[in-house]
Amino acid sequence: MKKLKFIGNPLLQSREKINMSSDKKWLTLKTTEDNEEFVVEESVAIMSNVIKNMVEDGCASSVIPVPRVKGNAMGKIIEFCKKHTEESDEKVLKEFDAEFLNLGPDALYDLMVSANFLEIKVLLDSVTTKVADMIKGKSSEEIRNILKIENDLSAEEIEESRRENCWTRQE
Amino acid sequence: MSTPTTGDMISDDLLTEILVRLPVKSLLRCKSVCKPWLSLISNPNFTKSQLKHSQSKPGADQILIVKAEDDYSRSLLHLDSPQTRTPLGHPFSRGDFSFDPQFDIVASCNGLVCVAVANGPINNNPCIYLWNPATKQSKLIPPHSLRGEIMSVALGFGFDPVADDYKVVRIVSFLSADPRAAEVYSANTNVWQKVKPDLSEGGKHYYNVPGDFPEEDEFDVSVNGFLCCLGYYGMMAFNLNTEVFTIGLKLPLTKCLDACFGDFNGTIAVITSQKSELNYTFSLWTLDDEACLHGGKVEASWTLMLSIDVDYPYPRVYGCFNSGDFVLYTQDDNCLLYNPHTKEARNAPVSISIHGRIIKYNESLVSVTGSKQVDWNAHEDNLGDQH
Repeated sequence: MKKLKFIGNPLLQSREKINMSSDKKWLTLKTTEDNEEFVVEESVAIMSNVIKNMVEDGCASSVIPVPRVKGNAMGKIIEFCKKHTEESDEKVLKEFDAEFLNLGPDALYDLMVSANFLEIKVLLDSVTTKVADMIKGKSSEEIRNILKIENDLSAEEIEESRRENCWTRQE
Repeated sequence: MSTPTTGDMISDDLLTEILVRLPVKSLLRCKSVCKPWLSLISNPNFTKSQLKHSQSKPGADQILIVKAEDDYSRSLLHLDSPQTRTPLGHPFSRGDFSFDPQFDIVASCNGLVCVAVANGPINNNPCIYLWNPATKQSKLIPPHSLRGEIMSVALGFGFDPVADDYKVVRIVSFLSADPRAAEVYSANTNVWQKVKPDLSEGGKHYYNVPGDFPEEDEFDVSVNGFLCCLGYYGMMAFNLNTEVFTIGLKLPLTKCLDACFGDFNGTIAVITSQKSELNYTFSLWTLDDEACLHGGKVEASWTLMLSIDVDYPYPRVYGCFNSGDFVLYTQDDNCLLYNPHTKEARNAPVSISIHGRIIKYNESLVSVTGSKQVDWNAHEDNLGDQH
């Protein structure tokens, strides 16, 4: 039995079965890494430039395979795109994004890589801005801790940086 | 940034997307995070990406260099939060001079600020700095060569996109009857060279001396590799790449009180001032085709983009923003931002104009070879290890 995820009103699920000639067009996206399927409105799915091109070129058949993106990331992406197609109030969207992006660096990284791959500019802008805000104003040590990066600089490189940028330590 | 789930290092493209969003101060700190970050940020390609992002953010052309409260040093002001000013600093360190020198800003381009100091640190001669206030790197450029009994000097600074070079141009008219002369400094070669031919093309004579001369002490703007200003015979343009002047370019109006040039959404633009009986009309025009700037016979043609009519007494317009707001000064020195679409004016700080010019600035990592670090407050750094 295929695992189907319907994003949206569960009532539509039954309408889908009964009446296929609704005005809205639906697509099925399937993450090939873990075989999860998502049924989404075309208007939501085409926020991804990659999917938009496929639909316009007419190569979107019943199921669109999406490589490289895992199921849970796909679910979150669809949630984001749906909100951004439905809502036009800037303030509401801003609040939604802040809550939505309240994730750890690993989850943000996955989201960012997927948004980049799927060419969803709005999402990529939001995630990269969020990560930038996380490191803005922090010291290099703090940045390494937040993003779990190893310090592989040589002693000379560290010394040169210190000399060049000691003034940046004053806030 | 790597993630335990995939173990992959973040791609340069994605890391760039994140880092371009950081202020320069943070970027300099990020160089100390790890080798890949140091390598990426130090790469000239990153400098270009950061600059592109910095200049295309909404409101990017509304960050201005303004007079500080002491009317002496300079500060940065964002028009959308005009109460906050951050000091810009100085292009030299305190120890370079035995006094506090005044400096004039020639122009700001791509995050570099060209500064002229009347009494420089070397024999009190006038000197010029190319300075990046965000990275605190500054270069005192070599002394210019045109000297003598000078009547007037005009300076210009801009970016030559063809050679990826920053240039300073200095036009001089002498008290004697010699033709006007000009020389150009190139950051790439680090030398001044006289400009050939000089400004005497077209057989025009101004004050009986061949050629034209800028009406102001500095060129108004550098756009797409051209310096632009008003001369006696019309618009004057200097091609930063070919180092050729074009003079006497037609303005959109045959009779106007004044004209100043600017950058309107990446296109060369001019603001004209006209007076009719009851009011003043200020109009913004964009240049249709840069072909006329190549010293040939093509005439300049302009398209009217925006226009405002005001009845304030003796108003002056010093500039315009990409949003369409005109910067208007009234007779009693009030500064207003006038929106041509809504016809509404709102107050702006008087200090945004420095001697009748609006100086726009965006931070960048751009550096000129041979720059050194400068800090007016350098002596405060030596307070021990600040790790």
